[in-house]
Amino acid sequence: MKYDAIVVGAGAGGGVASSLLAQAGAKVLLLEKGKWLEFGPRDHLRNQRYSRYGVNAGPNLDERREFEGRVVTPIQGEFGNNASCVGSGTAVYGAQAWRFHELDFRMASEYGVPEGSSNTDWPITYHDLAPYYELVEQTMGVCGHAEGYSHLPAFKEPYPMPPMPMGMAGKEFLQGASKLGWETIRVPLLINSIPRDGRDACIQCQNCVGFTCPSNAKNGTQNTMIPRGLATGNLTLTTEAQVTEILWGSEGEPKGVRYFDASGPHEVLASLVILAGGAIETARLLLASGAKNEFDQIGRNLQGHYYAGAAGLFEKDLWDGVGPGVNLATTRFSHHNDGVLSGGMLADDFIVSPISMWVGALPPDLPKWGAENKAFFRENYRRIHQIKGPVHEISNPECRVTISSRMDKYGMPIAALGGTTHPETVRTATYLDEKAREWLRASGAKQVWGGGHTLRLSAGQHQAGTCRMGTDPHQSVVDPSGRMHGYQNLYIADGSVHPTNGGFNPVLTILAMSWRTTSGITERLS
Amino acid sequence: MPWADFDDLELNVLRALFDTLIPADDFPGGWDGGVSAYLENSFQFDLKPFIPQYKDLIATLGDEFLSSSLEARDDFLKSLDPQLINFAVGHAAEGYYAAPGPGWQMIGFEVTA
Repeated sequence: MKYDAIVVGAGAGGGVASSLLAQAGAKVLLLEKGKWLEFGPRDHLRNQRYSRYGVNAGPNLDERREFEGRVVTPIQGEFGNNASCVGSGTAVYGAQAWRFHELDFRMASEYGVPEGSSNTDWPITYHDLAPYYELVEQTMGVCGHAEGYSHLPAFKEPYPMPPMPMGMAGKEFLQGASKLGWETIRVPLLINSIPRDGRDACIQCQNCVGFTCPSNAKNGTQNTMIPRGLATGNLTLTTEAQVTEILWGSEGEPKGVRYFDASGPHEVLASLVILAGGAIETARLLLASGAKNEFDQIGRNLQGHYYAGAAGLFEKDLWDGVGPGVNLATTRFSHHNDGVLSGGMLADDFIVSPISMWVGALPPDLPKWGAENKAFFRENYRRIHQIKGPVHEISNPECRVTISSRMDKYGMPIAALGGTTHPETVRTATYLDEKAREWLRASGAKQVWGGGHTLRLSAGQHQAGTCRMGTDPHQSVVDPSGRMHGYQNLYIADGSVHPTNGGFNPVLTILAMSWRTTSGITERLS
Repeated sequence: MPWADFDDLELNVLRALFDTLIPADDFPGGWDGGVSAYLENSFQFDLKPFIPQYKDLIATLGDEFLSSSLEARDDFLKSLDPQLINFAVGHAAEGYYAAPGPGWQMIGFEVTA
């Protein structure tokens, strides 16, 4: 049979696109290389937060990429891993549900284009996207305090759920911020703070970010949009299906895809193809399929998020064991920072697993072993808290995805990554480190440490930018409707299209952008 | 047999090593606090490639390490190039702090769900 649309990748963007098309009556095939995840044991060494020896949400550990010529595995940082399962990262994320700042859409107008960067404005504004942010918030379910934002225009609707209860650490950070005169906001979360949509409320466990939810209260596409799409009868979801090639018709338009599952290769046909495999895999698939690339734009401007921040040691326990742990943020440093470009949101951290804290958040001058290390950790695990946040990166066109001469087991070229962010990103991150320290000290920390940044590739779970949206095909890959330049029937609906990636967790923007693009498609189809 | 690569003497040196990296107080030392069980399992899988490094390290430490006091063992490890023991330091923490056990109890990481 021929589908109306094939969607490649069942994560944030693909979950929204496939569901909305199916709800609009289109026959849709959603192909996902990973599996459905079930709630299971929470392995602190093998999860999406700390992937020391493995991951819990994909991809298969036998996948390979190349980084600057070296072959790397999914548990190496240079791989730039993102979850591969139904829901993708939304099945295991911390679920921070931020809208981007108005100025996040106007980076070149605000800061210019530093030499060596590809800094740019989005071709759409915050106001173009706001209605779709609202649809995602109201439909998938965000909890928080929409009336409290000092940095955004007023919301039309409050969030459908109140914020999670404030934890002990959040109260200290609120006091610290008020001493400094900094405005704060409860961190918005795609989590049920109350029972909603036929599912329970969050039970405030200690293993949120990086893991599936024990009460199914974390709202990802796997328990919201995709089930709604499936319920229409119009959506077919095929898991463990690796798409290896876009098939082209006689007019040069996509006519379908080839994918492999355990039984071998399959060719499926559709009128439309929508790519949502994430910024690395979407670019890889386009390049491996020989998509039009006249201006050599596909795969450029790969970006994710540097995380600025610091850790602080408090005089008393601030660990109340009440998850998810992230409470309070400030957006005071999102923009208009002296001497640096852009900025980022800062928030207190999720509950940190013991091994993650031991590896990443103990004071650098503490002995790494012996009685002193043990005694310090014993005394202070509950007294160490971190402030951190994503830095709006300045994009570098040389930070990019290409394809390797090496092939995967299906004969598809593996993705080759290279380059680093622009040096301005490092300066901004370093600036924000200091703001995190200031907030920690004002909140009562007697000792602070952490932060510090070097130039590196930044991709991973917040990967974006490789098929940026724009009006000029010389400098972008998709047009403002999400359709690829030079094609009628090829769309991209994941973080690839972000021209720049905001100073916030990007998932709400990926969801909203996919909603916007898909609305355009359904209008066109009808 | 997970421990088949190590003879009794070598196992005792490993125990002494991990009980120096995480010494016992009113909570167990590294070996009994989770590292032994962790290595027993992981030497079959993820940590299998480290077995030769452990054999080398055991040889470096020697029999004398085994008969030394905790203080002397501590001094001896401090005298080594940290690169020689970094992998074992990491595995000690993984064994003691990455799964339920005395480590979590000691630091107060309580799981309710």
